Amino acid sequence: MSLTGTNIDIDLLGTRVRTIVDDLELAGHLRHLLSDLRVPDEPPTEIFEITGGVTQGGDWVLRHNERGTLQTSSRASLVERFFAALNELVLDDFGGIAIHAGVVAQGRGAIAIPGKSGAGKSTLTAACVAAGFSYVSDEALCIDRSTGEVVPYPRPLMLSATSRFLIAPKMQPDGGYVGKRPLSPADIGGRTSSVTLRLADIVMAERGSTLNLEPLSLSIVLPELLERCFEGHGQRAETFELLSTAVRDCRAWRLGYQDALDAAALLRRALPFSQASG
Amino acid sequence: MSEILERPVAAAPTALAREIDGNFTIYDKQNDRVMVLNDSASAIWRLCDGRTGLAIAHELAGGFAASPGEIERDVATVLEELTSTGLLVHPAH
Repeated sequence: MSLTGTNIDIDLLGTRVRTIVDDLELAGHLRHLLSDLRVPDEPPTEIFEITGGVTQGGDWVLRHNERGTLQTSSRASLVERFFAALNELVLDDFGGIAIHAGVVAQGRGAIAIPGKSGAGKSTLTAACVAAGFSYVSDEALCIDRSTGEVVPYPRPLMLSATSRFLIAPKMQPDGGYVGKRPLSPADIGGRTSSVTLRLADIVMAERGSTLNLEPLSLSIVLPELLERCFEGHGQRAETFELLSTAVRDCRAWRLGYQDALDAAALLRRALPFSQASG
Repeated sequence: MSEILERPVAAAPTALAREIDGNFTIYDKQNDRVMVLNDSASAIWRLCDGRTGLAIAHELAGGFAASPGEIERDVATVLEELTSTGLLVHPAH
């Protein structure tokens, strides 16, 4: 992350973004949340501007490439909208395969937890990070089409109040967040992965079931992954081919659980390091 | 004997098949859907290379405990289903 006054420059999935923030306190908050992201080597292609707030005596305003996106009196709403816009932008721009999933890692082995929004993958991902896995993403498993490597997408973890209380009960109250609050892995005692990763394990998690981890056939998992791809149908055949190659050396599991912390502890105990994890 | 057993069968050009964990997973490009074959269907699919259904049944006869008649019926059932879904075609001789 590069700081120039109130500029915050990041490279997220290959998209170079500059965020210009007037308010010093908000700038510090965003710097903290984005501190694990790569510094771009070239000038930004996307510009977000955040103006207003207490120091400016008025509403917060978010603009993207000089077009208005949001005006609100709530700083928390602005931050949520900013990260939502950033997420949509970088996933649209990403040229590889992106699958709706939480992702953590042990060593060089990435562990993907596929799931749609609301399925609990962010909470389970955060629990895994708190349990000692390194953080890769709480939103998408991103795979480079040419190398097959997992591309980290360590956006801030987005956790509801209930999940925050579960994962980090001693965390200070919320700063006005009503919905999901963005957190860095460090906020929950974890760290972001910094090594080259390959997909090693795919965990199909079923919340509401008895705590259990059992092997699963990859042939069952592949259609699930394809179903959760972000891209449109135009590239599905190519994605199918790439995914079937990417998962060939993976292990697949079914994880039943009630409590995310118990599930994370089980994965930590029971998931052996794979060859990719070395 | 089912008529389908007398005709050659092969994978449709729009069927993208990959063997994973010993079974075939097939992406149907025409209908944008995925089908996962079980053990016996995968064994049949593996032999759909232009030979007839009857030849497939004879090839499999040694590897399964069922009678030749039962194998022919099972092969016919699988071939009919995969043909009706467009994943298999009958190539010209």
